[in-house]
Amino acid sequence: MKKTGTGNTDKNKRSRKAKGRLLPFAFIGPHLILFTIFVLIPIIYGLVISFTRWDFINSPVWAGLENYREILFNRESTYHIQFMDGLKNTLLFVVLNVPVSILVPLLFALLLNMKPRGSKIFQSILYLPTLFSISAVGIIWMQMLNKRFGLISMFGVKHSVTTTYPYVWIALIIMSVWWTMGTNMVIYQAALSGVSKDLYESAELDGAGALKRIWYIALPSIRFQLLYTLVITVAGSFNVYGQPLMLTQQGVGGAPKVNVLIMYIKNLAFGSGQSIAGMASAMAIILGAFILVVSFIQFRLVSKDE
Amino acid sequence: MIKKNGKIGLSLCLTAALMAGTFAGCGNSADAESAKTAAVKETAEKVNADVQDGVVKSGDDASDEGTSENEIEFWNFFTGPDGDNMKAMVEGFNATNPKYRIKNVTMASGDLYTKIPTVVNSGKGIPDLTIVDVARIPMFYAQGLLESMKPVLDAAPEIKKENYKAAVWDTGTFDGEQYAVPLDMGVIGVAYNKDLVEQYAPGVLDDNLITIDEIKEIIPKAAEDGIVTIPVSFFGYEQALSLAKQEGAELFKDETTPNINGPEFAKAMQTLKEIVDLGGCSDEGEDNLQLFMAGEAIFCPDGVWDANALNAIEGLNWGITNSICYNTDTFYNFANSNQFVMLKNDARSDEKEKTIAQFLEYVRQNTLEWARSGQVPASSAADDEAEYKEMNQHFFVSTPEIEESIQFKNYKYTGYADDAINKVFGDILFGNIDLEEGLNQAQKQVEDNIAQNQ
Repeated sequence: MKKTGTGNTDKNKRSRKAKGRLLPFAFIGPHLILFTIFVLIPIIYGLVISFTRWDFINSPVWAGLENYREILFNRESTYHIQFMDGLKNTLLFVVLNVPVSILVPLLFALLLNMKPRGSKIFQSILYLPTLFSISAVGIIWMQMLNKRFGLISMFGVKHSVTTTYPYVWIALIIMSVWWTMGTNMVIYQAALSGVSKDLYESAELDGAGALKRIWYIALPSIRFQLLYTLVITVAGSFNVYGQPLMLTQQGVGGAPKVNVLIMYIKNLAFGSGQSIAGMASAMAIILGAFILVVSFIQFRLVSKDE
Repeated sequence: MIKKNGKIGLSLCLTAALMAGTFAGCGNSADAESAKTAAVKETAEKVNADVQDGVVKSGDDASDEGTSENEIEFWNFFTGPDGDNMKAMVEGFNATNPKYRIKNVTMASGDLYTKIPTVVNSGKGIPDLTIVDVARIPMFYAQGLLESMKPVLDAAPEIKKENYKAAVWDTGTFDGEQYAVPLDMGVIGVAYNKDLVEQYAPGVLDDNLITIDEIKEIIPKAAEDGIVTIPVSFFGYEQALSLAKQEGAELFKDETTPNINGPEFAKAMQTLKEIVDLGGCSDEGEDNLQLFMAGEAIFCPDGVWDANALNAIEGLNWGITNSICYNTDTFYNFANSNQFVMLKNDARSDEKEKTIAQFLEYVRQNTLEWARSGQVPASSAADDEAEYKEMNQHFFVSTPEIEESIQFKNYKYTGYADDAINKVFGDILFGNIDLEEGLNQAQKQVEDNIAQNQ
């Protein structure tokens, strides 16, 4: 009986241990399945395609590292020129867009955190553009920036700001920030609302002004949210596509004034002619690797801070 | 905590910051208001077609109870107002109680072309009937995607070259066999403002031809009043092709050799650039159709399908004529064409093919409905209809000479050339890139792309 009892206890322990081991998988399982289907398999598939020549119709032909060599090292190649041009424009967009996309929503979040009259309405209105499609956003801004019929014509602007450097970049960043700032703003607002009011009041009693209270209390308190939004904004900016496509298109059939890397990738894979899917995949993999490295560095910074 | 006054002040600041949004679309030209509205609507349609992912609209004829067993699945990309004309034809045909009903599936053209390889490779969900642009047909044929239309033609003997415009019919013929039945010809000519022509270019259109010399004569007078003579950055590619063709040049020398940096295309581009340099074109990045709609351009290269948008502008007295030319000896008008094709599908039964034949015959006979969308019907059935003769686009079939001027870019690698030229076209025109360098770049791009498929 004793033996049997011990046996049962061991069995129960093992069973509980097994359940304990399986429990985390039950939680992450659904996500893992979705991740495998919609992220992992496509990445592997894309990686395999990048080593081939393929038009999506006929059988792919193995090309080894030829696509990568062509993109990275053959200076005469169209694909090298396109990659470098796309990468240059994409990096410029990241450099210009990320700081503004962090600072502007942060500013609005700080203002809204002061609970001005109608703050909920302002919050809703500021968040609203995030819900629009890029098509709608592009049309709104194209009309506003139309030098003959748009809002800017009222201020005597004579330049076509969507096709003239450097105005095109300014317009692009303003439109992007207007469209996307809602997400970051809500994150900051949520974080700021969790900061104890006692800290602000103590600081105020000690003679700290508004700027000092923001700098020494508000910002350090939401540093994790700031780092998180930095990571997602950088990754999102590397994947920029819709904004320049919509805003800087030069008439019927014309190429946009700002060609980012995703545009070249898309046009190679799904342009008007036979698909060049292998080359497009290779470019996408290189871009993905680039984003991976940048994100890794950012995450290391976050971990270090922790 | 800020004080009450501070809060109100903050509130006012936020209100001011948000005011910009309320100005969206405000303009300073009341006259341009209707033009703007129509242009916005049209831009939205084009934009949706370019950017949206997934099917944007399913046809109303997509019966809920229907299955692929008793339906002909018909894919097309008529997402604009032309979708209503196609829907009317589909409904008209379905009202005849055919054995299989047509299920009208409408999606953005980009999505349609993206989905085709997917369904063909998987062998599942292949549409029974599809609309594709003429520029894609030689490529699809070469890729082995197209089924011969022979069973359809056998079942509907009136679907034959004699009943269609010859030039467009031939674009679907390969090795003596028909692989496409044309629906229309989307001719790109030059729209003109009759009032402005009267004012700045009287008599220029007496022969229905606008020569380069005539354009250069008009420019100074029009520019004095701030009027644009001809925005050649809009559908300028087709104007350049027309000019090059007058010099005897084609877009490709042979199937795999592009002719983009040849002397004829270079001369054509140089000619358009001269118009820009003389001040005859709008500025870079302008919305040229909007400009024309607002009565600020005398001429405007444009496709016939914009007819309804132009007709909607109150007070715009417009017409359409041939593409620009060096002289009156020869002229050409380049065109797109929507064509019916059957993608390869072993599961498509003979009975379905017979119903497809009946539908195409119905479309051929009732092609006036399609003319109402602004297009030039490929079928000759509407040629004698009084209503059609009143339409602006009828101009392009009004004489045999004009009809014969219609050209199509039906080369295997047209798509590569289109993408490469469009990439540099605006920059060449507005002097952002050297003409020779730009054309060489486009030529190289097409050559590299073709090499990838060898």
